[in-house]
Amino acid sequence: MINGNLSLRLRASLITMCLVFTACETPINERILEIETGGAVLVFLYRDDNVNGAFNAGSDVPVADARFALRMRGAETDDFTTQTDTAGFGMAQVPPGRYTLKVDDSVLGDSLELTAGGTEFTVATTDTVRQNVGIAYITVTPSEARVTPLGRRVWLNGVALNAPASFGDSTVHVTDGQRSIRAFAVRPAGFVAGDSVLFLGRLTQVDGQPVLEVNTQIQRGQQVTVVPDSISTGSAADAAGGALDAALVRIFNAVIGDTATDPAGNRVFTVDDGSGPVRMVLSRNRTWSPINQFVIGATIEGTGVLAPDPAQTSVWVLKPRARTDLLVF
Amino acid sequence: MRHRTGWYGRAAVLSALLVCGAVLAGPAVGTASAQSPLTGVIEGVIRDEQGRPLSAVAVTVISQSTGRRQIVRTSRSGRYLAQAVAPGAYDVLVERLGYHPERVEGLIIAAGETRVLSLALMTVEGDEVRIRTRPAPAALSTVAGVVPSHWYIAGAKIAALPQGTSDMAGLGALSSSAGTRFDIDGLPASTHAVTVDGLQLAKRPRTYDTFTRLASLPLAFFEMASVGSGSPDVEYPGQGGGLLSAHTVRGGPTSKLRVHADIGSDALTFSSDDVASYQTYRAGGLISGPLAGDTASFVLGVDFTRFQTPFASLWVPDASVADVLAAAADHGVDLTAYSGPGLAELERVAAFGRLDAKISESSRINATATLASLPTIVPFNDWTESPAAWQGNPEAREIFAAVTLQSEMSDEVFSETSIGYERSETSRQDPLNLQADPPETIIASVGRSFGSQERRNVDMTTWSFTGRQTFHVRTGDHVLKLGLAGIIPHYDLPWFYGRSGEYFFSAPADLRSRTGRFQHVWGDDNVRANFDTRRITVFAQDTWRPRPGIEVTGGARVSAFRNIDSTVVTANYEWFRLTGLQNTATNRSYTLIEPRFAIMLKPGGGDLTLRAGVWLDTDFADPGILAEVITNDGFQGMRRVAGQVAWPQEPALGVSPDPVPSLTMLGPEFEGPRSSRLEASLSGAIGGGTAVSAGVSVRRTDRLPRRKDLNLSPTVAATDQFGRPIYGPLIKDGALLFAEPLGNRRFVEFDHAFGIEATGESRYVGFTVAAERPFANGFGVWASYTWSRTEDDWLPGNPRDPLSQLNPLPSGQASDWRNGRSDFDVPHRALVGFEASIPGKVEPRVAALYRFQSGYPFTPGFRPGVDANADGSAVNDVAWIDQSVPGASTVLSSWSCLQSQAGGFAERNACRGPDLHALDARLSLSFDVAGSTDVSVVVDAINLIATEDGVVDNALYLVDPGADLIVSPDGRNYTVPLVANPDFGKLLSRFAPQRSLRLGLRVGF
Repeated sequence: MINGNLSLRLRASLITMCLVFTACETPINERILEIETGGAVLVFLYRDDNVNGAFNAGSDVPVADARFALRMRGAETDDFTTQTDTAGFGMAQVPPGRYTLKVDDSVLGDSLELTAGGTEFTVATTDTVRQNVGIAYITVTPSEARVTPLGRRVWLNGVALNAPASFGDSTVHVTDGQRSIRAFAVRPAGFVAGDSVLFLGRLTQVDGQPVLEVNTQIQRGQQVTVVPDSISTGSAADAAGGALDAALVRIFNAVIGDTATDPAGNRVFTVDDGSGPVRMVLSRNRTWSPINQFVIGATIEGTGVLAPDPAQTSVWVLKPRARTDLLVF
Repeated sequence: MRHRTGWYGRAAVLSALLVCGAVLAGPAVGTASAQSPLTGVIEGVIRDEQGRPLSAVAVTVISQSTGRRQIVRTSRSGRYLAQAVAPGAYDVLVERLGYHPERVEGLIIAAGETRVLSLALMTVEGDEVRIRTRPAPAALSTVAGVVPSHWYIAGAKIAALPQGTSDMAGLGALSSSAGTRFDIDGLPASTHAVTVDGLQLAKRPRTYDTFTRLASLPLAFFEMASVGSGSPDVEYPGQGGGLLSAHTVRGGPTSKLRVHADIGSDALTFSSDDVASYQTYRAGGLISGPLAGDTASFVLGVDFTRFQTPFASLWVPDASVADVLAAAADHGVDLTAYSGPGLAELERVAAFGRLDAKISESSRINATATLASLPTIVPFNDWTESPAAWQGNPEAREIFAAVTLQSEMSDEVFSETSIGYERSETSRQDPLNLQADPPETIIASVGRSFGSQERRNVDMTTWSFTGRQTFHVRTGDHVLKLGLAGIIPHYDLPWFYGRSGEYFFSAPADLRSRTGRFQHVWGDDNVRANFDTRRITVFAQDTWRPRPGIEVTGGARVSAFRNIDSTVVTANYEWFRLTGLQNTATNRSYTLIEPRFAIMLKPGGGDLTLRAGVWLDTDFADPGILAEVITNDGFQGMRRVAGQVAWPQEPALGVSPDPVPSLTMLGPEFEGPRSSRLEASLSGAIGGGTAVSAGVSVRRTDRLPRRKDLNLSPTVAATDQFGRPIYGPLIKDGALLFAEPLGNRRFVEFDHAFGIEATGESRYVGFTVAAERPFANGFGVWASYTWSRTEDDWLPGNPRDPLSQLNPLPSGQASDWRNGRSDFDVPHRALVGFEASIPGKVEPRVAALYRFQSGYPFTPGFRPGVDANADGSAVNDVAWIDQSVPGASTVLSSWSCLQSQAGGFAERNACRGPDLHALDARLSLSFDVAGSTDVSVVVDAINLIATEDGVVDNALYLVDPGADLIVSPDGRNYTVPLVANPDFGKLLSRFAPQRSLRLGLRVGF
């Protein structure tokens, strides 16, 4: 038999062994590799009023209280937060990965769009990623503007067909080469016909045709040559069924059938190349000398923009922009 | 929170109770002594016929192989102790004036084992003195372990067995605890340790390299070899998995020459179109003898081997084989080696020498060296880890040298000092020829794969210094063991995986038109991992023998490990910037304590022995993983090409996307595996010369390496029709399903970023019964059966392909899918050997060895080339069991493993492959020529029975090549068109060795 001391020593040995085994155990969690620490994302939201995709302190405006979202690649849901002030908003401990940043629809509505910051970016553990997010009203071409719901504020991007002072009514016709549209309330500025322009305004309707009531205007490019569409006087009278509303057109071999002066002081001729008459309006603000050349029976070859006749439905008038638009034979 | 499964917990408790019971039970009469990894002990008590102890009895221990003698005398209490007995078979002669001498023959001594031999001498009455001779009592040795399921094989038995292999690589076939995939106790080769003469060899980076090391060591050079789970003794090297050890033969005072020669050829058997022509030659010998009388002896040995084993075609024949061959032939690639019979081959030239010398009255020294060159190694079974890589392997050169000094410093203090050096060089520098060695190519619709991801040309070197100093101090009833051990391995390894790349084609026609997908690791071929590791261990142990028959051992090892450090890993600052994780963080140094406790009881002083032990082993980290961390540092890149490809060439850089960096890094506190073991056994003789044993072994191994992709998108981008999480956009290309490149990445600046954490766990319980009747009286038989169960939560996968080690369900599951049946769970293993002989002038002898094991388990999934969850790995996905898939009901009805899992993802390793059987046999005739020359003619019949093993087609479903992948409008739901695979569970590639015959000649002078 094992005596008492032996038994005690054996028990003690066993207990010691158990303790040593237990002490050697290391928690599994301490051995796990995780990308744990997060990076920081600083979001600065501004209204990109000059629509150049970058923040310009003079012209662009920081936006406060906007909601935006970070969505990790592959994720189904967004995490929204609120931009608290105009200095931007920082998010710390963002899990590293690839993200896209989305501005909440409540901010953008259906008139605003991102001009900067909408692409996928990497948040690294040790980085602070600054995302300048520019928002601006959507930019449309004249073709798009003509089908955009009325009342919406848009940036109209196109080529001016006339200078603001051409007709004395602050109207500028703008084209994208396909369709054209009139912009109203354009301030006299340094652009001329052929310059690319950007007008911010609200779409409305005048004389049955969409127009842009301009608030802000920007000249963006150098002068380019716009080739007018050659059409008959008959087609000019209805703007080819409205398709050439506000467009720059040219007529040939049109004979002056009538001359008059409207109440505003503009000279108005009726010209016809045999396809039907169209009224040609010479702005009183321009010089058309020698005016005595425009006599009944004279033949005209002329360029101008088409504008609806306020006095008649579905009738357009041709508005030369300057004396150089007309040749009289 | 982790938890043990019920069976494991119950087994652990039962085993703990067994140990406690053994500790607290009353002892009986008996004796024992200290253990050593180099030598064993013979001890006992000599009495007279009245049972009174006899003093001054001469006990002579005589080595059967060398004739070396060791003489000890009994004390007043009649006890004797023969220490430092080299492993082998011995005769023991007990003599005292006035008594008839007793001679016991064939006592097997294993390293670390204590054999008890107590005898009673009969008084001489009259003048006639007779020597009584009898065989040694049967015993199942444990080779220092606790459970004798870990079979040892003594030199005599080595010579008697049919030799399918003739080196240490074949040892697994001699243990019921080892499997055909070189798994031991449920763990793979990467966790095993190898010792020669008690000194540990450096751990190798891959299973194949471990195999090469073992194949370089012919069994003819060893007196004893063993397979086991190690020992609670502090001197043994700690290892996560199994321990393979061998002890070299020694010379003796008598000159001996032993010559062996074998020849085998198909001309000796039968020729058939289905069997390749093979030729086997083997020749060698050992010469041993004295150098200076009894004080010095030598052994020199050589072995020239060319073993060729025919095997049936690697590809199981079906209608697709001709299509694949024709498609490859269109591009100048000959694949007939896969479709026709082939040869497994081993060419080896090995030499061995050992010198033993007594340098003083109290000191002995021995020096050992083994050298081997292996110009050809073409293994055919799963050693290669991948059937696609079976062709051609580099030439290997292996050297091991060791010196051991044993000194009896005083009556109480015994010292052992061993130092060793090992070097391995492996190289192949053939011109790159992709027509002969195509990159790994997978044809999904027909399940054919061939070629290799690895570049054939490699150049790698491993060397190590190892040493151990042990003092054995006897103080009264205690034997203290104090010592220091160390091993410093050095590795110079090339980049391993993915260099040649991997081609995926939907069907053979796509191979013909070269329309498919290609991915490979692009980078500098000269990138190498050049690093050292280190383990220094201080150990102490007390073996207390309060009385004969009881031995209690307690001890501890304190091991200081050194891993690779940041100086050998190139820091990747871009990865650090993105993630905050440093790829140079490697847990450079750490210290671990390995306590151990063991008890041995011999109730009544008889042959019954109760052994129990509980101990902790720690191990090196897998050097293959460390090399991967060094070479895959983010300055290599994954390149993925889709569409028109240049098979078998690499697509030109200009026509494919730029490589995207990938890297590998270690988890915090990364360490090698650590095994807690609890073993108990009861063994003894049951009469008739038969020894039996029963034992239970419980093991829990943690800190196993688990791989994950740190750069996998943390969000689930979509799900499929089964709710499987999908991590990026899926692209269907015929029967292939792939993730959009980089669409599943967290950071597009990187491709895969592997993190390897020491968080895996393996749980094993095994129960072994064994019996042996010694080789005597013309008939001997031995048998061993092991029932075991292994569960784990790591995915060893294919070590050559890291993508196979990724968890297919890393998120979205309630529990860790990986936690389940181990890849190495083989419930039943059995081994039966027998030898029968008819004594006479010509002694006919028949021996046979039969092995059985359950089939290996596998997981129902998909063919390679289907990345069902878009995690970037097309080799790891698991199937959802759904009867509604066309054809599935038929498949499910024939596989019970599937039926119980309908409506969910298949559990890991839910199904099991076919059982495996193998039978080798030997017929030998022995002659005694001129009284001093033994001649034996042997005929080995190898693979008389050999069931086919191989790569099971685990694809439950195939992607329907003719149907479209349906994506929901929001892109968040996929419907993958699937059809059931009627070939589910059948072998795709097989390892089917054929019968072969070898004639041999053994001559001993």
